[in-house]
Amino acid sequence: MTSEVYFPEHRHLLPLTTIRRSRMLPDTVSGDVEVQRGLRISLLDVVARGISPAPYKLLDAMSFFGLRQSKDLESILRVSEGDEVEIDQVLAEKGRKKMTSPVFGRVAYFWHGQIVLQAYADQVELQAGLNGTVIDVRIGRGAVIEGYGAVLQGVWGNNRNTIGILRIEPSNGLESVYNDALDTEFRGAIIVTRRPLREYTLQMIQSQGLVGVIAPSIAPSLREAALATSAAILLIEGFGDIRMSTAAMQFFESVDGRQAALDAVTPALLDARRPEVLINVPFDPNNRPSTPNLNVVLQVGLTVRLARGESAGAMGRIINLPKTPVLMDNGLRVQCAQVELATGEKIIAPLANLEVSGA
Amino acid sequence: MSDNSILAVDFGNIHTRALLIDLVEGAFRLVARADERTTSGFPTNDVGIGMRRVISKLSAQTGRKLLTDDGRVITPEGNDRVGVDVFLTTTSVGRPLRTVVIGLFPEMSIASMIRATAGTYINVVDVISVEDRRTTEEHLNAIALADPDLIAIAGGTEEGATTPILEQARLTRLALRLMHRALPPSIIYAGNSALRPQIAAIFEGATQIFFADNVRPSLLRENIDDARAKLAIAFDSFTEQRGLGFDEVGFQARLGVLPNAQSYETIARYLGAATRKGVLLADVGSAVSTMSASVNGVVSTTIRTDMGLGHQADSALDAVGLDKVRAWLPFIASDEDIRAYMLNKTLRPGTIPQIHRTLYMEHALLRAVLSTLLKSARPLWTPEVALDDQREAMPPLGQIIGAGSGITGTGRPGMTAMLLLDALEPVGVTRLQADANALIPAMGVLARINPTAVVQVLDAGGLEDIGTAISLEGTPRPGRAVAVVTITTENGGAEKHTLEGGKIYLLPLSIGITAKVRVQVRGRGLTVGGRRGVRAEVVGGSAGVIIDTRGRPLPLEINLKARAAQIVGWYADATGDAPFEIPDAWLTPPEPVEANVETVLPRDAAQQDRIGSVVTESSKPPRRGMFGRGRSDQKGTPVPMQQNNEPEGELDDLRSLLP
Repeated sequence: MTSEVYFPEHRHLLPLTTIRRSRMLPDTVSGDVEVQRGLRISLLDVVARGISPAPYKLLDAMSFFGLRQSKDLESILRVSEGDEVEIDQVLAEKGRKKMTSPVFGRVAYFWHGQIVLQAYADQVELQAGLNGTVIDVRIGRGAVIEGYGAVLQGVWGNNRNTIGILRIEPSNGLESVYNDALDTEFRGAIIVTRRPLREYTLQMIQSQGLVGVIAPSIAPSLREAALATSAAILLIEGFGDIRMSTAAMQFFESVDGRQAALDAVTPALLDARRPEVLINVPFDPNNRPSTPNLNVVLQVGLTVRLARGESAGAMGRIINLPKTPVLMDNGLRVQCAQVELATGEKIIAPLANLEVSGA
Repeated sequence: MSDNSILAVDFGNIHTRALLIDLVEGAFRLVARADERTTSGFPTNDVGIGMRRVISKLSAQTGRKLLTDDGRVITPEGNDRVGVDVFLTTTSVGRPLRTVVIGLFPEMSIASMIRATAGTYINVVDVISVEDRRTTEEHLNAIALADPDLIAIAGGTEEGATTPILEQARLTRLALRLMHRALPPSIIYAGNSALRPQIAAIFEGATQIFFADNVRPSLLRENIDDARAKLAIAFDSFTEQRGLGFDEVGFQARLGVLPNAQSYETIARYLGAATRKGVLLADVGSAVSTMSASVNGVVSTTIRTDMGLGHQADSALDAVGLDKVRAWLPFIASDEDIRAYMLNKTLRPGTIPQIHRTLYMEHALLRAVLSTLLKSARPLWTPEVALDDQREAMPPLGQIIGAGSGITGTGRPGMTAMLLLDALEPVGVTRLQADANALIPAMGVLARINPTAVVQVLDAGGLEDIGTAISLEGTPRPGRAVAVVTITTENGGAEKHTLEGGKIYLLPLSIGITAKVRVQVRGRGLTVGGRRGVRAEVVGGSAGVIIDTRGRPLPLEINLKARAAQIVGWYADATGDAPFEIPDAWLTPPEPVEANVETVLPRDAAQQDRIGSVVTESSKPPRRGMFGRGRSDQKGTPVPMQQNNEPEGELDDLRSLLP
């Protein structure tokens, strides 16, 4: 491998860009798309609705009624396929004998003289999560939406999403957001904290009913608690005790008070979504922002973010790209770049540890 | 159609690797190789983009046009050496196929079907048999709610049962109907062949169905080869359907997109037969770990989709256990420290350790994964013997091939050798090789259409020779002379070394050079391959001849300070670098410890109050210059290996072994 052509990892931090996002129902959810191509939608609009899979009940009507053939069931049925049924609702009857539904659900199918019911499960609603235009629709699955705004991508989320005004925490920390402040400045807000989340912070988030929190990090032992928290939680840096990077904090300060959509998806293999926050920012409609540059090649002068090492989270500029692998302090010999940080410090970092912001 | 030029692309979860093989003076040779990031996730989510990038690199290296202007691979080869005759693709990308196995009896058809799944990335999420005590309704829910990608149905000998199989098939059909999936799970049927017409009728129009030979044609006979081949096709089909651009890639490739694990088994079978020695291939990837072996004529493959060094680092920690990782750390690490590292690696799976502490953490996981993989695999090598006790000595292995960036991407051949020796603990004389370029996945697929090319490319040094390792068994005492080694090269030159116990020695012998090595052990209870001495003709490599005098089983110290000295000493032995000086703070129980993405170190109060601060090590080793100082590894220039003296014999071996 040579260093002349290296396509680095992307983790977007963009003050204004064209945003294109797919909003699709999970594979296991059957549903309906409620938008059309070309439709202007806002971030709270529902793109699609569906029903999560739920257990089936097999009711052997043939045996119950002593029928000889499955087709004999047709004449005694009191429901049709797709009908919603209540508990104890009569499904079929013959003389005085009645078969009733044991569940609240729907009639899924009739199969060899058996009635297949499916209990109702939670309905899944898929929100747009950004203001924009529907540019593509996938029948039964969802839509692709294009909009404009600011983007910051993190590394982990607790698989929840929310929409609200983005606010930086008070100077004395997120824990100081108690009732009074919550009633005014922070109610319904997505709050950015500079500090790692602690156990008591999670308890406060839950007890105060915050809708969204953006934090740099959290201890691994609190991961389950974070997943159980009703607020959407986005981590920018990772697990452990890591403080928010200067670049991320400057970004949040620049969009403080703006409406934001927090998509705190939990990263998964093959899932192209990144946990992120999308922020509405004003722009000139006659001068539409460009799309992220997805074909960035590492080169001298490029600004990169360091994903690991002693300077993890820091931004810097590539000042040298050695053509041969570099022997690092830890003994590995890998392709590296020399990066100059804002502080003037020059460091060597593996190419694999450099991320670009999409600019 | 001639198959003289071959382009092979392997899609890993992190890297996409491409190889160009061509006829050079009448023999197939690896002429170019390149790698690039896999583009299966954010932002492009199309593996075709990474493929075009990596093929463009090959074009730049060779000056040969391989892609059309719209990015398609040019096949067959045209005039002026444009394009290639054969384009092959393999992959380990993504999650395994969630599979429900349905059969009659757990010990019979179901056991055979599960064995058939080895070699394909399959995660068996449920097994349904006539013997399990669930109701029909529970079976229905087990299938429908498992959200499977594949349903494998077996059962019935060729003259055997029919009714229960048809009942299960009908229930499966009902489950398919209820699922409402845009892409319903595929069916593979490998049961009583007399039922194929009825099975076809049951699933007609509902989904894709693959018919394979009965995996259990009689009570005493198992036949899983055809089922394995069909599972590979099902994997290809699934891969193409699930998006990510695999549909377009598979359309261009001659055999579709095949699971690369099958290649490992194919090549293990070939090498085992060709060398008549034990062969082990171990690939620790980002999301999947695979081990194929040929031991005493038994060929087996073990796939662990829960263990990897990147996407599955956190899951791997669960699989191996914290203590197995901690055992290889030269510092105190809390459960939280270790977990934080693995979680952060999962979040940024392609990143590389940048400081000593994280290198040790990463390598500790790698060793633990390899040894756990070995523990899973060993019982398969001797199905008639319970040999899953890790304290039992390894059976002799003549060849170990490591793959996966964690193993092959150190840039230090000695370090790569040490990792393999630490985790696998081979005994006797073992040739160590690395497959940094995904040659084996390509060779395994190529073997189906051009076995000649496979033999010639492997013989011509397509794999990186790290060197030949000779490992002492017993408990050699550190600091005491435990072996005398004499190396006699082809030109008659001889070197004699007296070696101490507890170390790894790298004795120079260049790639492609053979030498006669004689090892005589000194000390009670010490052996090499079970004897007091050994004479062997060995092949050199980038690390030379590696003499491991640490003993078997590997005597890792329990005391932390002693272990820290031991581990850093072994790194120093293997690289030639000065031993890293472990800071005292690493060895003393910490005050409240805080973790960075990269490290797990104490911070002072001032740092904690500084917004955007970064963690710095409390005790850093002296920095090297940009390109490092100190002794570097012997860096050999790859040279073609000698021509095989008996190519036709090996070719026949391969032909007889391959599908």
